[in-house]
Amino acid sequence: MLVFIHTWTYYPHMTELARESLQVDRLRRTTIPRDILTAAGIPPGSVLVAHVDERGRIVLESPQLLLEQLQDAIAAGIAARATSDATAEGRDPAQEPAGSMAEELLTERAAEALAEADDDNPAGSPVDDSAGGLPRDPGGASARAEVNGDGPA
Amino acid sequence: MSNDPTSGPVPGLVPGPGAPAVSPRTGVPEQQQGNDPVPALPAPSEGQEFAGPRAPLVLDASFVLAVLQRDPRTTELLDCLPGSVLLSVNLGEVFYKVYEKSGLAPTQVEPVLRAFGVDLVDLPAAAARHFPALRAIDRAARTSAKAAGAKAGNLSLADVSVLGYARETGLPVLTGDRHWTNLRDHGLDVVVHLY
Repeated sequence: MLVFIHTWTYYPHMTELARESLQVDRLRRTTIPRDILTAAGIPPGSVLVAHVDERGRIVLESPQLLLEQLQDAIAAGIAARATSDATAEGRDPAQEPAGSMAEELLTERAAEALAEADDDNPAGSPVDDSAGGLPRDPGGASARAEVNGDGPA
Repeated sequence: MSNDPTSGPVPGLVPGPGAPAVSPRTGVPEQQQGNDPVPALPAPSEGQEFAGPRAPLVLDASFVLAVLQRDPRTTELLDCLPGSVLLSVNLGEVFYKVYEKSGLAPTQVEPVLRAFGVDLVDLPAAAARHFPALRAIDRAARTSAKAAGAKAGNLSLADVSVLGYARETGLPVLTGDRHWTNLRDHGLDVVVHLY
């Protein structure tokens, strides 16, 4: 059985909108009838993701739906973890800020970079950049001129 | 493709030196000076054609995480996912941050990125060769900021991976890290889109 899940409208309480038989050939190829695709609201050129569910049904889903499911799961996971952490530490879970994963990552990167920041090759020292063609006098006027193609011949 | 200064930029691919940060919504270079904050961008009016970045781009992990957390600034940028590149080091950042915050495993995240047509790529050696120069640019920006009494950011290993790959391929990057936009004044010739 082929089940089309293209929008939340049809899932999980699916209403059958169309039914057609289709043939699987010797090479196990098949063509999904146009009426089925139309009924599922799938326009030409769409990208779908196929998987087999626990009942042996082949499910085709739009990537957008997969993303929405993942976003929901992440939001639920973050909320659950925040509640658990707040409760364990005696804080009011309702007052816990959601927090941005992206902002946290950028903050962690900045801290990591600060720890890595080396002073053994301070600004102004030559950098061998034979591969990249980048400034050998980083930040200096000659460096910018070189990158601009205005450097000395 | 390398960025040999003698060959000059490739039109439409390799941006010129000091390429400005470009607004993702308008496609117009932002008027940013030094370390001044990037002004908030007006939302496009209804019916206005989206003129932001187009795939292929090099996606920073910060953008992917913002998408996964429904950051409203990424709503109009989902079309940038198919055909864009996410480096494995950034994929790892996405994995660990999602797991750390929500408990979801990498196997729950990766199929969605693949379904969207995101190209998951290992860092090639050619991109790694840009690391020393990128770190030098970063140092120069930091030295300049210190001299001006301003606070400057730093490039992490993940940062230079993204920027090194972008320099090597000539692709623009899409990130939430505004420090990258400051580096153009110090020789970074990569187009940086902020979400």
